[in-house]
Amino acid sequence: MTENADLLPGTLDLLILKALSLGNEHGYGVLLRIQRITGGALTVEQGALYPALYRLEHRGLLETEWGTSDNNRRAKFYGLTSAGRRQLKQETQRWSRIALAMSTALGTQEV
Amino acid sequence: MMPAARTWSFIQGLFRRNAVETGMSEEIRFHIESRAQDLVAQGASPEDALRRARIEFGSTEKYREEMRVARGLRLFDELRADLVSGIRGLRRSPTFAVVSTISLALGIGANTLIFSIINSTLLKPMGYRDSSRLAVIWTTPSQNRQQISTSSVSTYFGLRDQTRLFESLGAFNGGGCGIRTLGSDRDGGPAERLFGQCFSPSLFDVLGVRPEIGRAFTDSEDQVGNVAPVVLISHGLWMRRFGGDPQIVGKQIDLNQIPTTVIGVMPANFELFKDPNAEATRTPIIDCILPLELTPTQVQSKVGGLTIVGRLKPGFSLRQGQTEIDTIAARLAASDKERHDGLSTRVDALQAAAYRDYRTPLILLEAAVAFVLLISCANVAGLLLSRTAARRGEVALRCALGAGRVRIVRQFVTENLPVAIMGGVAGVILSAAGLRVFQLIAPRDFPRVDQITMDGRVLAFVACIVLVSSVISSAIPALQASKGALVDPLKESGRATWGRGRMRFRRGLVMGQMALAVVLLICSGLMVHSFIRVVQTDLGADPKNLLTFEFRLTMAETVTPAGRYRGLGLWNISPLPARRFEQVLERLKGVPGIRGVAAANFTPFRGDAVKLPFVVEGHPAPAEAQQQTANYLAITRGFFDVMKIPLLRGRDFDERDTADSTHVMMINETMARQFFPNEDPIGRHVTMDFVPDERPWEIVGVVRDTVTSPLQREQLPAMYVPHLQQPAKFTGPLWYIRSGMYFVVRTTSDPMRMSSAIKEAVAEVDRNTAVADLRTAGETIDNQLRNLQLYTLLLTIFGMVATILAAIGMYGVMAYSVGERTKEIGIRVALGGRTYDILFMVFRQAAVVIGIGVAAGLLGSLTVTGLIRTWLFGITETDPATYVFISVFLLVVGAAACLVPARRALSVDPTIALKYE
Repeated sequence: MTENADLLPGTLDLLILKALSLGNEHGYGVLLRIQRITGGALTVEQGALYPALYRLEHRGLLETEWGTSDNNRRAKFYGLTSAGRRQLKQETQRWSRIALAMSTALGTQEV
Repeated sequence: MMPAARTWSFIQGLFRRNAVETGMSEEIRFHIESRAQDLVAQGASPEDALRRARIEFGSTEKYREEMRVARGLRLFDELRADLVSGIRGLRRSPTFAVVSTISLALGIGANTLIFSIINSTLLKPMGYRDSSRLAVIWTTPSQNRQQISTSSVSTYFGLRDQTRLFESLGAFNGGGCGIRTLGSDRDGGPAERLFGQCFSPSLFDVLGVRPEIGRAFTDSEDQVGNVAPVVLISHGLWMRRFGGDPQIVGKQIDLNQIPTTVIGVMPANFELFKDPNAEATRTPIIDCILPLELTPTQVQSKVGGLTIVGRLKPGFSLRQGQTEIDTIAARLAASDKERHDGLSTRVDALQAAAYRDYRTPLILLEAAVAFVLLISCANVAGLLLSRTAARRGEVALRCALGAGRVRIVRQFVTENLPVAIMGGVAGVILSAAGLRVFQLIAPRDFPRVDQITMDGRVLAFVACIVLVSSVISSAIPALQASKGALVDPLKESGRATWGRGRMRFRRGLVMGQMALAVVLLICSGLMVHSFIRVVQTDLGADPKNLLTFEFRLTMAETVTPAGRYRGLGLWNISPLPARRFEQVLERLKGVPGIRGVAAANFTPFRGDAVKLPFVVEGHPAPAEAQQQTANYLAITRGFFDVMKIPLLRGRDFDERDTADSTHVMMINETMARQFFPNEDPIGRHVTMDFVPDERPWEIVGVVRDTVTSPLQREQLPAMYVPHLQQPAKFTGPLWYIRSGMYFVVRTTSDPMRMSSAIKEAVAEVDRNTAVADLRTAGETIDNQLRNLQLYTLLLTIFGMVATILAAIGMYGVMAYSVGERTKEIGIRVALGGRTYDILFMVFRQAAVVIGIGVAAGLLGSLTVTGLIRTWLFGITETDPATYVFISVFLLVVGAAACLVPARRALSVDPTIALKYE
């Protein structure tokens, strides 16, 4: 399971969950949202998004539905399940703790 | 985390595979096209936008594969691919397919057969309601809980009244107490011997059985010392004797000349297991069920006779039941020393108790077929190993491309599955045929033999062993193939050779096969050898054209109570039975076709004899602890003539020996040897010790030993006395041997053709006493050998199958080895090697494999054969002749398996062989 080298493991999953917490969206839309919310700082090869989406769906964190996109085409829309929402909450807390710990650690070292 | 969701998406993936694949394509296309649209909006040209969108997306194939993985579909894809490749491989090498399938079919077939029998005997619940809660309570000696026996009436009452964990306890008497003669007076049919069982009224509830029509006993019908004359008859008897008369309930029939009311008919499918302590020849068939008929004497007695059956309350285990019964037994022993001193018990599941005798044999047979399966798996593994050699390049390539070791092993196991499945299917067909044969040859009293079927549990078992054999036979080659596979084979540019290590490994497999086959063959060889010994046993008498039947009067005709003696009942023996026996004897002597007739108080060759203590006049009395006993055999005149037992010394009984003349005795050789080693027994006097007015018997003759049973382990001393001279009083339950005699009839031709003439003649003397158990002496002997014969036959078949499989393995490894060494052989021939050298080369290698295999097998046998000790007669489990014979046999078989490869080696043409490279 190759992750994009630019990302820490698990980051992409968390970003997808975050992006979808704003509302249901198709794959390409999720990509745009991630780019937007990360200010384009984190980039992935676009195709890598899909195995991640499938994995999350397989784990029951996402649900899917075929619908019509803005440009009036058939597209598969992803949305969070309640398990997905729980997971997002947990992961966010975990991430904040790590981020805090890391920045503290790195900050201390500089002194 | 979300197993349900995972499973669902996996299943969807499996069954809606096309939809999933199209969905994936559509999603990716939508993504790329949307991206291109955005790029066009940012000012790119349409072609350029599409190209850039594709680049940004990355490899669609790679991501599609990852998406499949994410859905758990990859495993399935791989399994399918491996299966397909396995089937293709089979088509490419049909020899491999056929040999592997046959090997596995034999192994799996044998396992399926034995498991089917185990399933119906030990696993499938017996036909009683909730039968898992039923238990049997035995009385045992406190030092040895394995030695079970029936319980006394007072033990039954004690346990029944005190138990809390058992819902209810019941008991039955599986001994002689239920045997009745159905009189001929009422319906004019001939007198008939009925095999009945005596049930406590509660036993019906315990077992959960109801009569088909009518009712069971009530407690008031089975009071101690006051038994109502009532009987339940079997469905079979109802149909056979009473034509299914719907009015049968309430009618009276004569049982032992007592008018008895039929109160019900048992259902057709009702069966009670055979009491394990009952005579070996008794059938499990029950003709009728009677009340326990307890007398006040029995209640006071320590003597056993009852088999106690209990139903545990729901939720309680056998172990808890055992603990409670132990406590109660200890309490009984403490409070009532007289009747319960040293009481110890054992609680068994009913099914285990009922089929106790079959458990060990079946488990041993299952172990034997497990050996066979291992040998067949080793065969497949060996064949796979040589195929693997050809595939090492492929495996190395796959490893180089990143396939993990686990993946390679999985591939091999899955590829092998089609072979295992074919073997499984063929095995099931084989064992179905085997089962038919088994049902034909199995003894009639083999438990539920007609109900053995291949049910769901058997098929599940087959599925399991198919999987297991697939794993066992392919795991070794797979590990071998993937071990350090990376560099060497690729360097060897696809040349299919093995390292020496792999060849050694395959030889090791064959050694293992040989060793297992030796163990199996030695076990079966010992059984065959022992069986031959049994069949050839010198019986000491002639069973040919000899017919036996039992003629027994009722208790009322035989005895009247005469008080008590040594804690047992004492009985006056009526002169009527003895007179009746003489009358029957006289009447039969006149029947044409009968060469001679006599009678005894035991059935010849059936193993039943009463042992009685005795002292010899003038000899020092034996110490109290080591009472000397001998078989007590009361006979009529002419017994030795009819049986053709030679008189060795002294004289036979004759007309001089009447009831009033001097008491005379004849003894057998063993008695003479053991108790009169340095003196002439003739004229010595022997006194027995079991009735109040014992009189000395003068020894007048010595006869040859005769076996009491073909399966006897030691010859016992025997005392023969004229039946007319037996004491007028008898003690305890032994009165029974005075009520009947077993007649022996020597016929001029086929004895069974005399049966109706004999029955008619006996009916003329006494129409109310049945001619029971009429059978030839040959049948009596065969009946005792049937189980042993069956086990011997099965074990021999499995041993031969194992040998054939091991021979195939041997052939395979030698053929491969010769093929591998074609070049070497070519060089040897080119350098002037003679036939002898080539043969020596081939057979030296074979000799090492066979030699080590056989040696290991012999060592294994020495540790294993102790398990079949109880089946061996006349030889020990280390019988050297068998070990030598089997070793030589396997050496020959192994060498024979090398003949074809050796011929091939001899025919190697050096010019071709050397070009071959």
